[in-house]
Amino acid sequence: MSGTTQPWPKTDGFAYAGGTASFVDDLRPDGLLHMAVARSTRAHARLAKVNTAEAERVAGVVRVLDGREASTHLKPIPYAMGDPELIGARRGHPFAVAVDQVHYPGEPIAVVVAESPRAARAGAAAVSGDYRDLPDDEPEVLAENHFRAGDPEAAFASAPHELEVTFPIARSTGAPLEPRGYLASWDEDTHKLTVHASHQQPFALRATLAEVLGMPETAIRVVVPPVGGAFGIKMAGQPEEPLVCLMSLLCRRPVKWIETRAETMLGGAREQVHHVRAGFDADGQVVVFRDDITIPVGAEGATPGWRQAYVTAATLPTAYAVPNVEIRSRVLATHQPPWQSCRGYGKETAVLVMERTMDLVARHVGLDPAEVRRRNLLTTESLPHRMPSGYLVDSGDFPALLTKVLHAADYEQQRASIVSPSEDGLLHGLGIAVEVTPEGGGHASGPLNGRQPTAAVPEAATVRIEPDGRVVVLSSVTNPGGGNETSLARLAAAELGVDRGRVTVIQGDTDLCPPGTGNASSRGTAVGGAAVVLAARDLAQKLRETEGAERTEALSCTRTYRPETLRSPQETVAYRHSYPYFSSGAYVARVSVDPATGVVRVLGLTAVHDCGRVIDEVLVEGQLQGAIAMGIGLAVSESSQFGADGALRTSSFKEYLIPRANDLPSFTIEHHETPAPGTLLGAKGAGEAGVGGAMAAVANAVDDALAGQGAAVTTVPLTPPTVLDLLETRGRQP
Amino acid sequence: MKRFHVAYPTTADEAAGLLQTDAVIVGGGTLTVPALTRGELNTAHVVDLGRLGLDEIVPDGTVIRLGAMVSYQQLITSALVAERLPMPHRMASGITGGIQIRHQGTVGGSACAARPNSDVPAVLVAMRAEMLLRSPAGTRRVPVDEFFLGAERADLRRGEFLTEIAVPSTPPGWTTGYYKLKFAESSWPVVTAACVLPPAGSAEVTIGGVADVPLRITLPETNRTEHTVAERISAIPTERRWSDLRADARYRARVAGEIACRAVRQALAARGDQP
Repeated sequence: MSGTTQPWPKTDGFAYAGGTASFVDDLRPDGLLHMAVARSTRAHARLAKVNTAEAERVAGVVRVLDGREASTHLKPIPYAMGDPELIGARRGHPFAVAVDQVHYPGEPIAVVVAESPRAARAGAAAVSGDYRDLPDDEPEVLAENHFRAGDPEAAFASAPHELEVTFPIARSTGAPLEPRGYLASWDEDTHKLTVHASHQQPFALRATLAEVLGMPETAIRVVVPPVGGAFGIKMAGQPEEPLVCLMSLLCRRPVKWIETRAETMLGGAREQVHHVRAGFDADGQVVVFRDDITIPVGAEGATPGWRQAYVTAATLPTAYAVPNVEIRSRVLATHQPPWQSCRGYGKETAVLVMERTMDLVARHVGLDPAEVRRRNLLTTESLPHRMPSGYLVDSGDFPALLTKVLHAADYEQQRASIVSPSEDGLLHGLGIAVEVTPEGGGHASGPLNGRQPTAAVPEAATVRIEPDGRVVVLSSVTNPGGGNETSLARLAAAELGVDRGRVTVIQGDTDLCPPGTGNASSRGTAVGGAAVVLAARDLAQKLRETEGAERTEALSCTRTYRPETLRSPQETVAYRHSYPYFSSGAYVARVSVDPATGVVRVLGLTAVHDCGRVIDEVLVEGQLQGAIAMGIGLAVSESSQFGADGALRTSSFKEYLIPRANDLPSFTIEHHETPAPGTLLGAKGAGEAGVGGAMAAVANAVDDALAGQGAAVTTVPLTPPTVLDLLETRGRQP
Repeated sequence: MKRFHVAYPTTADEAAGLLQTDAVIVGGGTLTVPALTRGELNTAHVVDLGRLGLDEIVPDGTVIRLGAMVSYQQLITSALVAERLPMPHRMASGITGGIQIRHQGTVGGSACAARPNSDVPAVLVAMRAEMLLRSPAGTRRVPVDEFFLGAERADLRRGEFLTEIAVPSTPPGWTTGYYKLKFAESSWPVVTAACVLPPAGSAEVTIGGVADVPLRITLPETNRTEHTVAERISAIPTERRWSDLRADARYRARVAGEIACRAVRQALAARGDQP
């Protein structure tokens, strides 16, 4: 393990744990107004009129604004992560507020600004719409993607065995403890708009606001206070972002909007149906894999949410060397709230589908699931490996991960000693999963072939030393609450040879920090940290050059860093830049299933994780602990449900069940380091990995527990009613 | 969402007088306060019972009188409750939500909310409790079997509020069991079963979360619990079967027999029988 991995205190840990961190809702400038959003109660309707008169009469209400009026001030919201055409999608014009038609329940139809949050909410509740329901329409195809390798038809014709299975996956969300929130302060004197936002992408937010509001970027400052979790939902492109700014401009007072829990719960992603057909031989060697995927992404939105659909399709067939592959996906706009980015970003569902398929193959040929994986995993000799989508698996050692996790989990011993049902009547099962997580930014892929190229996006850092020796790091990377400032600080301190205590990290301020992407795609340390190292090295060089001189002014260096675009050595065609590194992991889950009630309990979870060079083991483990907990939640209990009228039914934590600590076992986590060839530090990402691996391992373990007792597991979450249904349909194994 | 006025009466008479309006009554507030905050409950008047001193646990012969504002935590820490009301004691220990909810939430509030799947209603029915209701007209005593009228519907007339729940002590030699099925630590109960086992004669099990009100079922033979419960459940008219988004009525009917058996086994084990 690297020399830098000794634990350091997480610099902001006490502030978060002790309740002294100052979140956006803690900011209360003089003259503050509060915004609430009136939302559509219909899924699909003409909006003839928005009735605001009653809201205007509510005591404390200052201003009500409907879509018609908003449309005279605002332009459509630009796509936050590049052109939709890059991923085979058509271009829409998402607007912040419904003007004459509503597309989903929860769509903003008006905003209300008042002297108190309560008055604003009362005002919003008093707004009503005159709707004329529109007939059900065919879902609109937003995008179609097709990836192919080898000759699938011929492979199916000669494959000795095949299986066909459908995997429906439920909609679920990210559920940060702190919901979204924005505070916009327009200064009439300086003509400057300052926006404090619980956000992952301050620079993207600034660019979005400039475009929607028709202001120069130089007139906008975005500041990100401490964030209480993000998980993807705090990326740019949300309708409330420009609305809160517009209301500050119109009212000439600071205006704040804090999302309610019910509003947070409107967001979601991951829902999809996979029709898989796989051909394989008697040794469990998979020769052909086909997947037809239907992905309803809700109404069209401007956030990067719906792009996860592309990533799912492009990540197949994950860690495996399958010579013949055909993936087709159809991305559909529906009348549910728009998808938001959710941790895993589409990769987790690809992992689930592939890992379930491997287990079904194993059962079909009568081999242990571990053995079937060994026979199909990509070997180190085959890396870098170009996937059918054009993603490049840069590095890793998947067979070693598998060996290591089986050892860490004592798999053989557990397998041999499991008594199922046990004395208490519970069924027991073990499940394995191997996960790859493409990371680092670059979801669009494929051979160039005259198509629009893509490039690696840089991160930047300024490292400054004050005359008194204090070091300040200004980073383009932001901290969603996971603590990446600690790893940035330790990287700077190591390069400069100073104590940790002398380094201050400043993030998330567009007036102070150099520009970059913020918090996205598991690149905080691998890309943002590399920029800090380069800037610190430059600064160290400058200090050496001026050694002995008296310092009266600060010395500062700024560097950008972008990961390399790798290629496979035999390749003759050029590819787009896509995810520059793949982290990977292997997981073993142990579960019990109560056959009388269908209740699943996760009894053990062992992970071996390869995020390349580990910069800070404590932070990596923290990320993985959270991701595994989320993966277990997705496997057994998390599901966003809508009623027949289209309204969200899971609007609180009493309906949307995320695991609590006592739902979970202690996790065993080990590391395996294969350096990323395309990053300065050899680091890959941590954060997204673990969601798919844990979800798939638990689903496989439940299937193992039910083996011989019920039908195969093909869906998540495995809620007790779903599990009982599987037990009832005994013998219908695919 | 409207503005509303909150009154804090200090005597039962004052409270009864205040309730002539269409007021929302707040006990511990764990259900009502979030609903008021979110605008799901609309009212001009809120009456908070927190200053009435209704939080005492008093033994009175063979019954234990629980003030309407007694919290779950009081049930847990009361030696009297542990000894003489072992089933409510066990129920309180399993309340979801941690120490704050256990201190804040009240047994009386949960009874008045009359949610079919909550812990309290089925336990009170199993214990054959009596509800004391106060109004300007005086005090009315309602056997718990008549108190629960339907889902979220209790026999509380306009202007009436609950002051006390009289729970008969579990006599020496009698044993009880309580089992609740829920889907995660954060989940509300899905199906509950509360068993009372006398030294002689038939045991009873009360099932929550299957019908719109708790179902008390006599078990002539404890080794046929599953069968007896299934028969009784199959007789529930469709419109009185309970479902919510955690589970449909079919799932509840499927698991109820087993959940009942688990409560019965506890009661048998407490008596020292081999279940």
